[in-house]
Amino acid sequence: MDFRTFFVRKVVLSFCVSVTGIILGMAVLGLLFQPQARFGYEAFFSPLIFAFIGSLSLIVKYSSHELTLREALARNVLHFILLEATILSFLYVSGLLESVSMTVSLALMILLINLFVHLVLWIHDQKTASEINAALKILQENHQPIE
Amino acid sequence: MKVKIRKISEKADECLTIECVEITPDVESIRSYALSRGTVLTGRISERYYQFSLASVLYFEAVDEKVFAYTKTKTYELKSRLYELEDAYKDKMFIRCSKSFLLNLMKLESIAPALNGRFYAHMKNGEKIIISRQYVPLIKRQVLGGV
Repeated sequence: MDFRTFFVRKVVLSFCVSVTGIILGMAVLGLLFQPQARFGYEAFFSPLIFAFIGSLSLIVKYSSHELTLREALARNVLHFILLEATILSFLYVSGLLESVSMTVSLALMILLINLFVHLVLWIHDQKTASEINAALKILQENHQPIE
Repeated sequence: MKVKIRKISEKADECLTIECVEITPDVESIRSYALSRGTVLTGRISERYYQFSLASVLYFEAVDEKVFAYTKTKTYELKSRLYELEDAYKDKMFIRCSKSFLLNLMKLESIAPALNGRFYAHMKNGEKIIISRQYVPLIKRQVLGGV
């Protein structure tokens, strides 16, 4: 897969799913920790910025050659570490991290969103596999060898 | 569609005739399958050469500069390159599933998503082969097109 295709299929899809997950996460955590807080229109940018930072780190998964299972797993772990590091560093530099409990909650939220993205991709793959399997069965039945 | 089978005495005179109003994908598919049943390959095991039918091949694999054909019980080394086999047998139910594998759709049991974003091809002999994500749309098109 060339880099452009990888970028559109992986990074852009991940960005869209991440925006949804971040809005959901912000709503739940906001209601738990700062239910009285009110925001201006600029708040709409946060999910976009964080999803962009998060999705950009997916680039570490790109490879022009075929990755082995072990390499692919190692890159997944590296991506997750990068994701946590970039987002938490960004929040720290912006002065938005106020306490240890908030840091831990956000780290957990990033983990959950990451799992959510993988779950969505897996469900999509499962659907593709089911379509192929159903068509494959018909194809093979139509071409039963005459013994 | 009516199916007629007439016994003849000479193997060399065996012939399949399809009488149709229009050459539909179904007709093309029957033609491809019939051709693949009759195709015989020559491969090497140790220092001896053997002939085997293309239809018995589960998959072809390229390892370094060598190409191997795997049947249910034997592994033959071939002189051809993987891309040559792909070109020669792409209309005979053989499809590329990664850079190193060419699999026989008629010997494919099912496919399933793997956790690392790729897919597994579960072959009818119980073997599992990795399908690269980039080849999944091709497989889908081939399988759906052949139904």
